[in-house]
Amino acid sequence: MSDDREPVLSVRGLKKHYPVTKGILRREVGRVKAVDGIDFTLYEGETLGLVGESGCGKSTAATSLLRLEEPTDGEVIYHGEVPEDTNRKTPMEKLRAIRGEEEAREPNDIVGFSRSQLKRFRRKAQMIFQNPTGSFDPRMSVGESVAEPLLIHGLDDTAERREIAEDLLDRVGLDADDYDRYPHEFSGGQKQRVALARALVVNPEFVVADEPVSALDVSIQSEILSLMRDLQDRFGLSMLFISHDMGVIREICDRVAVMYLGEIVEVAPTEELFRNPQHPYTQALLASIPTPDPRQRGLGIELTGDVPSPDNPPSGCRFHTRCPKVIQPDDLDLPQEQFRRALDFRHQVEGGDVDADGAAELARARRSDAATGDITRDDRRRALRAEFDLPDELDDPTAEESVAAAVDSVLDDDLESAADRLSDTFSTVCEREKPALERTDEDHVAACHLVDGTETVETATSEVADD
Amino acid sequence: MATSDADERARFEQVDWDAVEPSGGGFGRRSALFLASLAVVLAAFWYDFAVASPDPLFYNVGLAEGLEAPFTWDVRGIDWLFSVSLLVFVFYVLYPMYENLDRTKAYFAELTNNRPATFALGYVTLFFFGGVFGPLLAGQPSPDIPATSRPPVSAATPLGRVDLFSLLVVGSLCALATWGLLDRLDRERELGSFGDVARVLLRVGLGFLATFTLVGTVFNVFSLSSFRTAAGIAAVVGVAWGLRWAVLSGRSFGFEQLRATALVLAAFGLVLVVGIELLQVVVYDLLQFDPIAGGASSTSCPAYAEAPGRGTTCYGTWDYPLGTARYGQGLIPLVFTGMRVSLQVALICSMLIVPLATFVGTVAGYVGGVVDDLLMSYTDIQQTVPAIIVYMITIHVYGRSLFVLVVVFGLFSWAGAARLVRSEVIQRREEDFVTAARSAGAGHWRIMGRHILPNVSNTVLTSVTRQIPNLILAEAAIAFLALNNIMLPSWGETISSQLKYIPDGWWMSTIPVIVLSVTVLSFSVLGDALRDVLDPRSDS
Ligand code: SF4
Repeated sequence: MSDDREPVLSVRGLKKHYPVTKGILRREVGRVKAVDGIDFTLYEGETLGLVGESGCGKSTAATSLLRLEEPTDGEVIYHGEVPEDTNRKTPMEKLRAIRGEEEAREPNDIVGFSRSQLKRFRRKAQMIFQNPTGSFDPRMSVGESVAEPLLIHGLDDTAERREIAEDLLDRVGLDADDYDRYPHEFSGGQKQRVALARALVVNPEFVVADEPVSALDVSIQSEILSLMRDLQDRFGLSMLFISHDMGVIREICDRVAVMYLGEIVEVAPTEELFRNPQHPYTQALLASIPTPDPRQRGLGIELTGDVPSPDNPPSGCRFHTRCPKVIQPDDLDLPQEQFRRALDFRHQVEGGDVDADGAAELARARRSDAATGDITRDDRRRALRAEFDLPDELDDPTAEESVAAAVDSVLDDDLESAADRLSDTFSTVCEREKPALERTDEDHVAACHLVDGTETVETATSEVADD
Repeated sequence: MATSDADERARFEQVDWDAVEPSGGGFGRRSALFLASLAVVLAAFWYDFAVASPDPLFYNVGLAEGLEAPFTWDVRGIDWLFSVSLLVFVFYVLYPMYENLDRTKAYFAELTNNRPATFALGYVTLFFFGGVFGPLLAGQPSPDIPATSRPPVSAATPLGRVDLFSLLVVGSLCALATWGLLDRLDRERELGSFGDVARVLLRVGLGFLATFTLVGTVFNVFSLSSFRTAAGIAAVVGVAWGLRWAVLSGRSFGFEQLRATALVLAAFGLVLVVGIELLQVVVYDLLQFDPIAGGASSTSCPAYAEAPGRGTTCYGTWDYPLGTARYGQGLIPLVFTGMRVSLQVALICSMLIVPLATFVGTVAGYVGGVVDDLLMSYTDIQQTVPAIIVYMITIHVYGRSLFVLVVVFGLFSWAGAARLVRSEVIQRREEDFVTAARSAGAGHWRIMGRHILPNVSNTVLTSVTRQIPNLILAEAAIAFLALNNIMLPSWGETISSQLKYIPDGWWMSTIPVIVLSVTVLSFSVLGDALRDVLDPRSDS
């Protein structure tokens, strides 16, 4: 179905890293990899969902592909008409061009647009924000806010601007008389309608909507969503729809890209993704939606562990610290649950998050009801295991031996040997090797070692790369 | 929606963007008017500077052309600055208030919920008009040797003689006390009904004052007619305005109001009698101090003003209602010229502080990074240098003048405000509406000018209002340290030069002290109230 559609925007290898600096000289001491190389294509007239937990970098992806923040690396190819460049080069730019420092970019790469090109491009791409209150200047009437993009793009006729804005307010379900009212006089849902009007006013080609309904009541959410769908149909808009809410995504999106820790792990048409999710992370996300449909239940997946920090993302598959289906080494034969727990234990030990004192405390807490006698080493051992949901005896002898030794080392406060011991036994291919995006179906790609794709694709946008 | 008339409206799909060429954007109407007025002032300045007096001492405008008073006016540097700052005030404070009348009214209503702030606002308004027009009405405080050390005019009351000034002070205190008392005893009915009468009276008074100020100034400057005519016109206008409001407001004025007025007046009379009696007992008898007659030897006393049985002392006359200073300068002109000086200090310093603080704060907050570090380190350093030290050094080079004083204090008092602006900008910069404007294609200048600045203007206004009392006090303090231009009759100068005639010439310094304190107090109260009303953190 995507073959007969023209692409609007292709994102290739987009990265946005935030340097972590220290001291007055702002020395870089680390990087937060908010977006770490994502690829997708937005087709004309479609709604592409970008879904993930908060903090996975989806909003950063949006702002950096629109160059509201400068991306660190990557290309954002705009397939429409390239806006003309009227900037004269500054001496610095000339110098850089002469010295060849400027990396060559394609002419239709948004990342390489000059200031004047960017300004013209802004007319074709608009954004809608999550917080309806914060996205309006409290000192401007909503009409002025809606009409502002017109003014910015050079429509100097005040009366015409006002007419356009009033007409548009009318069409998003408000009143033309609301032009002179101030944002605080509107409810959240009404403000999102105004936000839609502001996004539409310059007749853009595509709209990036960053969690546009998350701050609204559920009853109002569907109103706004259906308005968005209406407007999209009427004006042939393409839309990048960012949300953490799978339910909302299902309602409005044609295709969905799932993001985890700055990377895209799965892309599929919405129906396909909900029916047949390939990536364990997607499965977990789907399992977490409350749904009245019994067929959707019973995936039985729950995520354990914290979301890792993007300044030091896990190696290999980034999901391996939480993946319920993480792959066991060949020499182990544990129930999947136990292997997951053992891995969690290992990560905590490696991170220095458990120690002998902690174990003693846990033991004391467990015995608080029958607080007689000293806490024996055995108590502490059991407490530690219980904390990680590890049974007293693991099903696999090798694993059991390793865990028992590690627990003892922890109780002796020798975390290092405990960690060594555990990492010898509980290692996984998911940690060592980064899974490639594999195609499982015509429009379906996922990045997981468990997925047996028909072919390995370079990027999620290979459909475009082919022709 | 899809009616025929909707079809004729401009719609966004119909805009032919290829045909639209972004223009540079012109000035708004306000800026154009401001620039035109500024050009007029600058042209006049150039005329004064280059034609009327080529030497740097600005000489009397008009003398060279053979004109006579009142068309000659020795315009000094400070006066030029003052006119510019008045323009700025009119175009960038009053005009926006008028433009957003609804918002102004909302703020005003909120402000007047706070009683002290209402009084402070009233006084500050009087202060502004007094400072602008007062010296024109009351004239210059020139020495009048036959009338040296005249005390305020006194009046015979059934309780004995009281001088006008003490009567005014005791009267206002008694009015406050009456109001407080009634408020406590019977706030529901009597004060409520009297409130309507008081509102009419207030309008009569305001109408009178405003008209008298304007008409009197015109009459005075062009020697058209006497103050009496001006007062007559003003009285007619005031009464007319008051009655018009009474009729238009749709309130009924009947027996209820009459009764309340009578009651309030009776209470006030009672309290006033007690107040005057207290004055007599405490000041006259207990302190053995006779404030009615001038104790300092008056060189010549009009016959009718002599105090019988009081030796060489004499009573005040209506020529000088509030008395005269040591060399016969009338205290009313002294108060008004002092008011002009204080207003100049307040306005000109603000005109310097506001743009500096806004610019530095906005740039530091918006740009951030190294620029922020540098600017804020500089403000820190500057904050450690007291403006008064800089002033003391500067007067050695340029001589003592109000000009140097306002410039130095204006240039060295913006650091605190800049810090406030910066933190406000940092907060605003992160808000979605700024990102929204950027995604709409707005440049940095537009964002700073249209989105950030309007949102920090409240912060600047509040912080400057709270700074003004300090500046006025600093001027007085400098006069007290004898570091000022002694030819300029500011309040501080009057106070410090007349203080040595206490207690016999008590009115010479007490009157300016009281006006100065009321001014400083009013600005502080107003500043605090403004912060409560305008503080963006409290309204979200
Ligand atoms: S690669 Fe491994 S860790 Fe990553 S999702 Fe697949 S099974 Fe889970």
